[in-house]
Amino acid sequence: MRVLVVDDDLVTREIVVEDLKHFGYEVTAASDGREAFELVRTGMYHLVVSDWQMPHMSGLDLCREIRKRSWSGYIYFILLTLRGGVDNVVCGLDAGADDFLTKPFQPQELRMRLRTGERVLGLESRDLMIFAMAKLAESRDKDTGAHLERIREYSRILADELSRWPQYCDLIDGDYVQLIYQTSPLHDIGKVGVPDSVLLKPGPLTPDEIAVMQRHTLLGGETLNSVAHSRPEALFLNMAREIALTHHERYDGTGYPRGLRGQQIPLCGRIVALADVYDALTSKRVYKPAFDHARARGIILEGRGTQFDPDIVQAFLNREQEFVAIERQFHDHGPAIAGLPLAESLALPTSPLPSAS
Amino acid sequence: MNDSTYQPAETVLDLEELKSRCLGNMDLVERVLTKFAGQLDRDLVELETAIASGDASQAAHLAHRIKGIAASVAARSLFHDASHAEEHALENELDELPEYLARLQDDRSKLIESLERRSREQA
Ligand SMILES: [Fe+2]
Repeated sequence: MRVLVVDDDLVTREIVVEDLKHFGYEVTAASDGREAFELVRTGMYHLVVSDWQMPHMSGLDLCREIRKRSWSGYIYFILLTLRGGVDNVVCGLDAGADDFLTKPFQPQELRMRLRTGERVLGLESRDLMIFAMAKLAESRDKDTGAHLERIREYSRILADELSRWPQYCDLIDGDYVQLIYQTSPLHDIGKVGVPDSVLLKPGPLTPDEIAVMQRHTLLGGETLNSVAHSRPEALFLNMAREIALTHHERYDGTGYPRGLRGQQIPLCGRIVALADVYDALTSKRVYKPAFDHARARGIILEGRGTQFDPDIVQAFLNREQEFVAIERQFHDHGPAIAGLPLAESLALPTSPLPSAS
Repeated sequence: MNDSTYQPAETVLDLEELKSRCLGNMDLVERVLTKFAGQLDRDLVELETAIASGDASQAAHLAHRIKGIAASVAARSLFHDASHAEEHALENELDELPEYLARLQDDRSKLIESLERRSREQA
């Protein structure tokens, strides 16, 4: 595992670098925040150990700069402080540091902190596996492009917006936002159970075929339910199940599979419903061109209170510029930040009707 | 610091502590001590200049750096005096600084002395 060690104090740096090499890490050293930031930009470093006070760019500013951007994976950041110093741990937390270590420290202490970091990064690999699974499931349904990359971004934006509203702040916290980002790509996982003859049929579907197609919600929900049962502590499975099951419900109760209405539909399902439809509208399909934002926006507004929760429509309006930006970022291209440059991501987005799938 | 001139050797430099931080790697201990001596000399010269020109923030920065290297090699007196120097510099109490500079220089002499004694013993 690679570690980036940042310190302008060459004496401390030498000890830290050599100790970490001794522990089997591959170590690179930088002498201030600016130099370190250039190294982080290469995408090679996911563990950073940085001194706090440094010339040019402090460890705190380095951490802030790193957190401002999206990277191919999480960057675990350990700040070094000096005993009896003026450094304030609260500032460090605000800047996004993951852990602190007070100098002078024993090498074993640093080793333990780094192990914690590696565990956190390992959990992230789990998230990548979830996404890979979703991608695999979607790969039969050809030419959906970067649909999953966009869905999770749209869902994250909507949840983040609602979390700032007083009536939602108890329901949605940072964890929830992160969770919906991770689990929304699984919304159509049940399509693995829909036969090719239906899923890939070029023409319009018969009523029976529509019913088979609509079963993807139940299939996905049941599959995730059986896993969630054996691991009740895994919250992401629960949310994934709710999303798979309810992302085609409509606010007025005319959706499927169960015809739930209003608050009966879990919040995550209501959020992903709008994200999914917006993406279908702004993507090219065999039967329609990609609509521009204004047209998609109009259709979403028409569905306020019928197809969609009015609050979520409002959240969409409050953050619509970000929707436009995401649509552009992932338009007809592979994932820019997902770290999974699968071949199908490069294909043009064309997929069955959003309302029937 | 009190007025006694006697200091146990480990107050000047706790070599056992430094060895353990270097995971027993004596080559590393030597390299670190060489770097330490060089850095300390440069920082003390710069600190003297900063104090003479009344630059409290530069003095604070340098005192902080001395504190950092002192912490790393387990040079306790130096750490202690550098901490006080940094505090005074941060409070903009420039009058206090010459006294602490003198203490730091004294710490430095003792450190160099102890390092030289050590290399004579090793030879
Ligand atoms: Fe679906």
